[in-house]
This record gives sequence, C-alpha cells and structure tokens, in this order.
Amino acid sequence: MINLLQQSLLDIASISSILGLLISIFILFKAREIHKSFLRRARLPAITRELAKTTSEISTKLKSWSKSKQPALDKLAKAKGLLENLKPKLPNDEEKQINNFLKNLHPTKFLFIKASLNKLTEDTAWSLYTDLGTIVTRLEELVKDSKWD
Amino acid sequence: MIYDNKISKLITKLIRLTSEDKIIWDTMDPPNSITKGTNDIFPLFFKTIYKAKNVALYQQRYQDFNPDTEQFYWTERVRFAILDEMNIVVWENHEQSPALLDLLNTIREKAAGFDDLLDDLLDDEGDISLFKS
Repeated sequence: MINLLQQSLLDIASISSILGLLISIFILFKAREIHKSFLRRARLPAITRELAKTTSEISTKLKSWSKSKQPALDKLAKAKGLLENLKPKLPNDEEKQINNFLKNLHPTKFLFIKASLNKLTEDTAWSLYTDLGTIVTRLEELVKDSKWD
Repeated sequence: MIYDNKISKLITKLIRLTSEDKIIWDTMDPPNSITKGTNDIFPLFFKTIYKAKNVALYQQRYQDFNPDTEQFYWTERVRFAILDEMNIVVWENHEQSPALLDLLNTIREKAAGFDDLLDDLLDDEGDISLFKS
C-alpha cells in the first residue's frame, strides 16, 4: 500500500516537473514576445518614418541613375542599415519580408559569396524600391497595430 | 498581397516613365464623379493615358475624426484611379504608400518644369563664370 502511494507520488512529481518545464518554455516565448512588442512600440515609429523618407530619397536618386548611380546606392545602403536594425524587433512575417529584401539587395553569387551593391542594375534597383515601398506600408500598419498591444 | 504588389510595380513603372518623359500628365479639374456629394477638396488632379487606359492621380483633402479629442480634423491623401472615357472612376486604390507620394512629386516636378529650371540656373552659372574669366 505504502509502495503504491510512493509510486503514485513519484509519478505525480514527474508529470508536474514535465508540465513545469513546458510552462517555463511557454513563458520564455511569451516574455520574448513582450520584449519585442515593447521595443516595437518604442522604436518602430521613428525608424519607419526614417525608412519612408529614405525610400522617397531612393526614388529621387534613381531618376538620375544614368548620370551617377552612387547616390542611389548610398541611399539603398542606408535603407539596409535601418532594416537590419529593425529586423529583430519585428514579428516573423515582417522579418521574413525584410530577409527577402536583404537577400535581393545582395544576391548570393557562389554559394556563400554575396554580390556587392555596386553590381546592381538600374532595373533591379527600381524593383528593390518597389519592395521597400511595400515594406514601409506594412511597417506603417504595424505601427498602428502596436498602439493596441 | 500579390494584387498589392502588382499595383506597387505599376506605380514604380509610372514614376520611372514620368521621370524619363515617356508619359506626360495633364492637369485638369476633378470630374463630377469624384467631387459630387462630398465636402472634400481636390487641389491637384493629374491624368494620363497609359496603355489605352485613363489613369488619374490626385490629392484629396478630407475631414477625419479623432476619437481621442472627439473632433474632426483636415488631413490629406493621394489617390490613384482608373477612369473610363466619361471620366468616371471605375477603380480606385485605397491603400496609401510612399510610392504614391513619390509619383505625385515626380509629376509635379515635371509639370512645373523643375528640371528645366535647374538646367537654366546651371547654364546661367556657366555664363557668369565665363563672363568673369
């Protein structure tokens, strides 16, 4: 009888510790989400405004690509910096979209070697501008949503 | 999302073609189909023909409601639309994007002859330096 009671207590203890571990993992993920959400509320509006401004500047510089492509490339590099800063603060979907953009900005040449920004063609640069515009629109919506978090 | 992406691509293409003078936009009064039954103000209305379609881009000032202050306030947006032969809006974009504003700015620069003005000013500078030497 005592043995049975001991065994039951041991089983309950084992199940409880497994449940405790699962709850801890769940709370860890939730804490990470809250941390991201807090960072988003604090930094997202300012960075999104800066990114929108840079996107408009890219379009202005792209118009004079035939004269000199460097100003447009400089602005694309600035946008890259802003997006890299923003990436860890975003939900998965937006993070994925930014990763795609960064991948197109520096396409992989030979397995791991990434192409330089200078290799961009005018058509690719305009296409990147379109993608950046879509990202800015999504981020602006996220700024509105984060007010309700 | 694919649909939005197509519109973004179209707007980018229009920016590019406008800046290269491949399409010309005309200013005109907004058609009745847009202005009737509203207090909104339309300070700018541009129209062009692209691939046999009447494409319009216009600025719209309208009143919005702020629930925090419980007051109406004036704000502004840029609209992109497709018109039929009678200038009736058959389709209108409701999404705002930075590209729309860039397109409007490109059209305004072209309509105001901003490029020519800058070229003229630079030519004048050249003349002055020539005169000085």
